[in-house]
Order: sequence, then structure tokens, then C-alpha cells
Amino acid sequence: MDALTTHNPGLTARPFQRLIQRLVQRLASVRLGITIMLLLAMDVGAGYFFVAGNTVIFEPMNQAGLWPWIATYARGNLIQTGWFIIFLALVAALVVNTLCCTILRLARLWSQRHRRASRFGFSLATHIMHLGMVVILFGYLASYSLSQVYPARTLVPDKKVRVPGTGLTLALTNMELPYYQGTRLPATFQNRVIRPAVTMQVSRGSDQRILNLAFNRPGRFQGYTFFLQRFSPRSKGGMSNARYIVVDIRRDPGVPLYFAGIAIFIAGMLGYVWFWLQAGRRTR
Amino acid sequence: MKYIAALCCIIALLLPGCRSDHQEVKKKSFLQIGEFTITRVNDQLIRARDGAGRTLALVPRGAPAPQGYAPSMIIRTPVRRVAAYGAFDVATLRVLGKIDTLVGVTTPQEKWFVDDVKMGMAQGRIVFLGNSNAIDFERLKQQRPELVLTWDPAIIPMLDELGISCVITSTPVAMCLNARMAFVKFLAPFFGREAQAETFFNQVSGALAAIRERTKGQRAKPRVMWGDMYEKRVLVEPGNAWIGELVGLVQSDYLFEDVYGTSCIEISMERFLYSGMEATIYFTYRTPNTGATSKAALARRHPLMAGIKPLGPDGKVYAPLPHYSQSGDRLAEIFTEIAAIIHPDLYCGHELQFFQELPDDDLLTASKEAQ
Repeated sequence: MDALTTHNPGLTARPFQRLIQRLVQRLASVRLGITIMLLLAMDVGAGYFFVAGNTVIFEPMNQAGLWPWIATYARGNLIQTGWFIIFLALVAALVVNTLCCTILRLARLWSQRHRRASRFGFSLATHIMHLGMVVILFGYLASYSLSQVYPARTLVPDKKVRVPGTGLTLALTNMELPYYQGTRLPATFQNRVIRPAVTMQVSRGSDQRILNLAFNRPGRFQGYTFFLQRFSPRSKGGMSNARYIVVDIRRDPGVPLYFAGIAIFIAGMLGYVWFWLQAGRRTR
Repeated sequence: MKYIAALCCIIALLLPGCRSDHQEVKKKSFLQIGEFTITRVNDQLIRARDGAGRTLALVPRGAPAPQGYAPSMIIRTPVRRVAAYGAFDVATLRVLGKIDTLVGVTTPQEKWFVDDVKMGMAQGRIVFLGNSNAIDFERLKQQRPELVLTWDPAIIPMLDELGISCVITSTPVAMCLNARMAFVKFLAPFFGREAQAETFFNQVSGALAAIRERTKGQRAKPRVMWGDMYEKRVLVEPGNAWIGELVGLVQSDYLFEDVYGTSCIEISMERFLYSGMEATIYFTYRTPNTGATSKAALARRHPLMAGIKPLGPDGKVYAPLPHYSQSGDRLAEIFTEIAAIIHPDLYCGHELQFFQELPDDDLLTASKEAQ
């Protein structure tokens, strides 16, 4: 309150603005933040039990996006997904709490920058870290709300596949499926493919690139990301000897926000360490 | 406390907010059947998500094609000509009263037990397209199917080239009991046969309710295992599969309940044998035609298996009869039969139609046949 009033004395004159001020103060409360985090922990704890065995309900969120998923899968399975809706609400509340808190504290800090110059940089760094977290969360929101997903594209050797609406043409150029022959894993893993590696040619117009894909190692081309989802054959002498891979393609506007958020967070953290070291030197 | 109350208010405000954003989604416009979904967008478009996670557009004949779909992803309904890989897909066509749309299968004529299919093949209306791993695409093209029902994603690029639509009817994770019963509802919009699908589903649900009622309160819980040992691998039905769920529903213990994944999932031999020490009833994948003629025959095929309890004098082993896999349109009877096998005292006089109890040795089988 002090920060806002000292900075903008005119604000106190109007009752509506006073109301807003009071609301922002309440929302910025540290107690509220701790309550939200405790509730989040409880909610996620409950979610663990609801997700187990129900991946068919949650997995399609990656393809459908958050809002269509809520309108369909979540609505149809409220008992299993209720915790997630509450989770979203709690995260939203945490973002509001963090933003209000950060804005108020930054305003106060700015107004006292000359009086408490030694504390200024130190406190600023923590608030920058908070802002970084908020940017990362907005990145997730952007990913799950605005991503374009082209799921389950099957590629077989020597056949080109066009992805409608993107101008992309894909071709599987190489598949390396080494059968596990080691002794570290249980015997059932013998002759199974654990680390598939595939090479894919992607082209769009005159531009083309060779991408190497593996599990958790996607490839990128002109803003599109290619994820290896499945492959066959999965083991030597298995039921199917057909050779193919299945890839998901995403265009995700949230990625720059993740990186921006991570950069802001790291900058805040480095600033924190720097000012902490400076404070230590002054004390000595 | 006041913060918790305030948070509850925020959540209460947010929930209807989510709902109001999607008011256009009518009730029952979205149907989830395991990994399959049907979304009714409007009268001119239904979106179907198949077992591979692909989204297909079902559009009535004559309606404009929606944007953003490859030609082979747009299916004109009702579908008139179908080629099917799996026996369960064919059985679903029978349920929907659309077996007359079938023009191609991947099982040769002599292995069919379904009269409609045998007759269709004899008349030349339905043709054998080759084994599922070696399809004769020339023959497939000649049959001019509008839709191929398959479990094999590898043929999708080839079918795209031929301009034939395709639906993957299997899923990476085994179908649960509800998905198995409701699968017919997934295929129904392709043929405009929703009413038939609903009737079938209600009939199977009724049978399941009757089974639960009859087996309710049973104290003796038989221990059941379902799978087989092959030369190089051991395959079982996981706990999340419809079989595992059904066995649990009829007051018995399914010994692979903790195994999760695809149907016919591979487990270690040690685990199979360990569970076999506890089991009282064992369902094998093998039919009498593929070697399951007696307990002794199974033990001869895999000597390690001789040690499992069901193969001993106190256990029971059941093998599916050859027509079992083609009887997906008789799910209610199959469920009842499984319940009758697990609790024979509750189903006195039940005659097995889909399974056969294996005798101790082949001599018994031979003498029975001689009689």
C-alpha cells in the first residue's frame, strides 16, 4: 500500500482505486502464497493417484490443447480430472499472487532505492527470479493453448508423406534399431530395441534438412518440432516385422517464452549471488 | 482459513468460466471410448480419433469437404465398401448390420467360422487380400474399398497413395472392458448405425450387470492367469485389458493385475511361472488347432510350464475354440462363459461354447472323441 500511495498520492483520493489497492494488497499476501502452495502440494498429491492408469484421459491434452481438452476429456471424466482443474486454478492464483507481490515490492523498493541502496540489488534479484517463473508459466499456457499439433504421422522407408496445412514433406531415410544384447537390464529386455535412432528428411519449398530423431531428442525445422512417438519392429522376432515410425509435429509458440523465462530466472539468480557476495565483502 | 475460502470462490468462478467458453459443445457431442473418440462438430462433420491418434473427418456424402484434412483423412458416410484386417472389426460390422459392406479380409476362407463371410467369399464378393503382413495391394485396389480397418499403421502411406482411407482399430494400450464393449459406438458413425450400437452396448451392459449380481459376495476367489509361453517369449493379458478387468469383476483374482500395457504383453518367464504357482485357472492363447489339446500337450511344448499349478491335477486349463476370436458380436455370451468358468457352482449346467477345458492328457481326448 505504502509503495503505491507514496508513489501515486492521487490514488487514495478515489474510493474505487482504494478498493483496488486493498485488493492488490490482499492478493500480494505472503500468507496467501504459502496457502496456495500447500494446497498445490495436496492437489498434486491427489493427482498422482488419479493419473495412474488413466493416461488415456490426460495424454490427448498434448494434441488437443488445453481448452478443447477441458471441454471434452476433462468434462467427460470429472472425477479423474477434477484435481487438474483445481491445479490450474491454483496455479493461476499463484501467478496472480506472485505478480501482485512482485509489483508492490518492486514499487516500494524503487521508492526506497536511495535510502536502502545496499539492499536494492539484492531484493531486486529475487523479484526478477519470481518474474522469470511467471514467464515460464505463461509459456506453458501458450504451449497448451496456441500450439498447432499434427499428430501421428506414419513414415515408412522410401515413401514421402505430405503434412496438409504446413507445406511440409517428410521422408524416412534411415532407421537404426539396435537390439539390446547387454546384461545390465533384466533378461526380458534382450533383443528389444531400447534406443532407436532414425533419420528423416524434411522439406518445405526449396528448403530441406536432415533430422536425427530419437526418444526425448526431437528435431527442429522452420519453427516445427518433430517428436519420435513410436516405431516398429520393437523386438527381434516380434509379432510385427513392419518397419515404420510415427512422429508428432508441433509448432509451439510457448518455446520462446520458456527460454525467455529461464534466461530471466538465471539472470535473477546470478544477480542474487553477486549481491550476496558483495554484501558479504562489506560485512567483512 | 479466509484464504482457503477465497480460493474456493476463485475456483468456483473459474470452473463455469471454462464451461462458458465452450458452450457450443453440446451434451454427448463428445464420446470417449478408451483411446478412440468421436466429436460431433455439427451436422456436416464428425471428428473421429482412431487408435493411432489420427483425427479423421466423417462427412456425409454430398457435404463440402472440411479444410485442413488430407483427402484420405476425409471419410464419406455412410461407408459402403470396407476391407478389414481383424476378426473383431468384422464382428463389429455384424453388430452394426453392415457385414454387406465387407469386401476384403486378411484371413483365408477356410479359417472363417462366420457364415456371412464364408458365403461372401464363396460368392466372390469378399476376397482374401493376403496375410496381414503381406497384403496384395493390387487386389485391394480392385476391390475399391472406401475404408480399411486395420491394426497395422505401416500400410497408411501406401493407402494414402492409393487414396483409400484407413482407421487404426487397435491401440498401444490394451482396451479396457468399457472400451471393448463400446468400440461398436466408435465405428457406428462411419455407417450411420448409432442406434444399433447403443442397443448392442446396452445388451452387453445388461449381461455384465447380471454377472456382477450373480457373483456378488462370493468368498472363494479363484486365481486366474491368461497368457502363454512360446519358444522365445512369454505373452500375457495385462491387468488393464478387458480380460483382467472382467476377471476382477467376477470376484476372482487376476494374477497379472499389476501388469500394464498393450494386449499380449511380454513378461519374464520367471514372473509367469511364479504366478503359475498360485493360479487355479489358466486360460491359454492357443486353440486346440495350435497345440492346446491337453495339459500334457502344453507341458510337452514347454516343459517348464509343467510346474504351474493349473497344469496339475487340482488346476483347470481352458483353451479358446477356433471360432472364439471371430465371435466379438457375442460379447455378452463370452462374458457369461468366462464367469461360468470361474464360478462353475453359480452357473450349473452351463455348456461351454467358446472355450474348452483341457483334459490331463491326449488319451482322454481321443477316448472322448471315440465315444
